[in-house]
Amino acid sequence: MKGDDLRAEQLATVLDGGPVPDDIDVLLPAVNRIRDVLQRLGPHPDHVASLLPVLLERLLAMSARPVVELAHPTLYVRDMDASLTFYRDALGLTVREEGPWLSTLDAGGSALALRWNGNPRQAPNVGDMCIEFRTDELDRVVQALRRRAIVVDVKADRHRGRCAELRDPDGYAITIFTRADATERAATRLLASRDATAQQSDD
Amino acid sequence: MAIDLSDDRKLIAAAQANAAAFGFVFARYYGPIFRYAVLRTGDPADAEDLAMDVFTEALAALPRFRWEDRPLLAWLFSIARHRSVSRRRKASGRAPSAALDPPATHNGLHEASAEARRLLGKLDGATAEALVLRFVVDCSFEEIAALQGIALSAAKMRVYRAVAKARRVMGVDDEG
Repeated sequence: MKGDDLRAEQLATVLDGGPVPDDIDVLLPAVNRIRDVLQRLGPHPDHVASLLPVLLERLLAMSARPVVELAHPTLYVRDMDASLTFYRDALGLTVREEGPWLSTLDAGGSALALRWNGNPRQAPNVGDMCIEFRTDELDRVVQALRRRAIVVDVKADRHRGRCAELRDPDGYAITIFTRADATERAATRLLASRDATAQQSDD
Repeated sequence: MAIDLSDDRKLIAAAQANAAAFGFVFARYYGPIFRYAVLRTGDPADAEDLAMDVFTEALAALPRFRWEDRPLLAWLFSIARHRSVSRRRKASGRAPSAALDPPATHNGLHEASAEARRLLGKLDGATAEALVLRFVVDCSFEEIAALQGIALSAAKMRVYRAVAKARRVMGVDDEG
């Protein structure tokens, strides 16, 4: 064992309460000084207690992130009339505001805005995005779209069941899928309507 | 203070059920973490700031914390090591700042801190941690080795080197 290793071993024995060898006792004043200094560094319990509110303030400051919520996605369109016809008449959304530059539509629980891109000859960049809608009545929606000569591709999606894929007048990709619980909803509606009819005939 | 896994487990469970109980973790372990921070930074104000960073991060991470039969102090030290390194990186090139009130409230802290700095200099994280574990938490060398994931002989050597350095600073004539 090298000298340093030996002394480290001896010091460890001493620190664990063992006997003090002759050649190690020169280190003990240093050990005691370190021990003393570390003890004196110890913060007073009152001071520790006074720091608790500071800790909580810091945590609150960390968690106080700014919060935003989605107002609506906006699609840039080259022909406002054609887009409104598509979203209002073919898909059945309700127009909330209508204008040459900006129109907004109610889309179930959210909204969709259409903004004219200012140039009928310039197609907007439709990019890698997809606007997804859901419905309880996929077949009726598909029929209505096809009656307007809109090309619709109906397929089975592994995650969402049957869905319809199509493009809006600018080429934005649209997917309409069936609600996961469509069957359950339809059954509930049917039962409610049967109950209402039974109630009326009782009256 | 000795490390008690059963106490640690109860403390962390209580704090996860109710964050207010984290106050007990703070009261129990602020001292060792603060002393470690002094040995790392050499400055009480910076040390207090660092120690508060450690507990703030621990409190924020509490919901994700999973008990793995390791002392809480090991978790807190790992945050402290990481924090002290990143603070050092950020601090390089800019003047030091005291983010909290100067901790002059506890008597003799500046003097003790200056003496620690004179005796030991700014220690590397592992050595500072080993000293605190040995002299403050009263860990055995076996516990230090287990906590730091090193051999028993390496744990002894870390403490020995710090003591030998302190002795050199003190000088032979200064003994006693």
